[in-house]
Amino acid sequence: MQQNGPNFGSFAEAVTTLGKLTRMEGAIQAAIKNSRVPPREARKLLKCSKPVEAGNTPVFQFMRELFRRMELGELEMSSVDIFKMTFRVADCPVCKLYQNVKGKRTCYITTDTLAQFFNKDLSIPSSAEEVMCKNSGDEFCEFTVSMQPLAVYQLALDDCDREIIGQLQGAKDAATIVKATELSGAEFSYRLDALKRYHILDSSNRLTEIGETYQKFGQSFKHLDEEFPAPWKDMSEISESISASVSFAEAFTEAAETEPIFEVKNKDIVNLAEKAKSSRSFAELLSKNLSKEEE
Amino acid sequence: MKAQKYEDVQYIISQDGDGEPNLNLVWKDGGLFISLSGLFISDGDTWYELPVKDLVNVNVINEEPLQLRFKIPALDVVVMGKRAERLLALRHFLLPYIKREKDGSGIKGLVKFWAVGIMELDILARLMGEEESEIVQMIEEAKKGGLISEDGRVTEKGLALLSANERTVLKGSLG
Repeated sequence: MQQNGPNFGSFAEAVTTLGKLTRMEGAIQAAIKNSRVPPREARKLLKCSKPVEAGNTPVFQFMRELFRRMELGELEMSSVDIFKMTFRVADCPVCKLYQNVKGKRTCYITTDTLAQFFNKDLSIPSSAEEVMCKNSGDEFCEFTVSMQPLAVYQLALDDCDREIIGQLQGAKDAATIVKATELSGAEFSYRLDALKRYHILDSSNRLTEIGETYQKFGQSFKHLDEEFPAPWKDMSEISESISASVSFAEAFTEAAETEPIFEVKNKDIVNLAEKAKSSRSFAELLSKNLSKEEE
Repeated sequence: MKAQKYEDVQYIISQDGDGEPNLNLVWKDGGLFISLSGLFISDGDTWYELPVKDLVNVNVINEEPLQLRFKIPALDVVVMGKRAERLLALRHFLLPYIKREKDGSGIKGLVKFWAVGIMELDILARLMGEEESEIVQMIEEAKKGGLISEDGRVTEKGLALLSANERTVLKGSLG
């Protein structure tokens, strides 16, 4: 092994790991592309206040199935906040790809997949971060997804919520609002709780400063709900797409693994890190290359 | 040194001076090779070595076609390939091995943008050439370090990171 280099293990190990990652990337790309979730379903997830409740939503059940098929492990819902969700993978298969890495977080592929799912499939601008990792000594791998607050407000609250806010601002009592919105008592109470969690209402059901702002600019906050079937209605289509992509990635990886191994001579190597330390030498390198191209 | 071809790519090598590329090559055709010390890019003639120990980040800078930026101090190498999953796999393979930038220049940049009111994640990510998850981490670090207050102001400690000249310019832009 190269001194001072990274600890990839052997050449064969590095190539095998890259092959596995390519296969997973193929599956992830196919899955993300075919898994757009209708806003009404994303809203159900956003309105949950407890991990158990969120874990039982169709969206999360779907996510968990996708993660299995992408070979990213068994996803669990760990905690739920209005702008932040935490997910956990107990026996993380990604960690096992980096047997030689210790004391560092390694599951960037899982982190990126969560971010892509939230951004592209749930249409919520979000960022994801791995906050705990088995390879850095933690008991399990844990990932936090931070969602952009404005996007959450746009998606989480629907026309019925806006009507409730309007009626409350007009100082209508609960019975009048229930009658006007044709909601059951339980549903009305559930919606009030959600509005409190989102800091739209205070504990006395009065509009907060955020609530006032939301009401004032409510129309621009409004999210146009697109209606289309949930992706889990036809899992076979996603499965076929993942299988096709994985087979292609595997075939390509097998072909790539048979690429010849070159013996590179030291005299032919330009170490870019060394060259970059000296502007002059880098400029010389560029000028040499450009003149070679002109010839 | 042994190297195996990983992917056919087009590439650009540019020197990076204080965040702005100041020298550029046109896109060139070549191959991306892996070795036990890192990566090679070759046009079939010269072998440009990118040692993993010198890498500070690998970013996706464009999705279609996929472009990866390998960053080492004072230098950027951008590669573009037809098989997105191959390049993404390479990125995820390398990230745990590389040393991430921790010289504080990122935080200083964040404080500058924050001071003029640019706080949106996507805009900051684009302006700073980082991924949003990195920006989130930087914001948390800046808050923990007392550079940005919880109510979103840049503190005196944060402003102290900037040069006197930068503070004067910022004051001017803030009116």
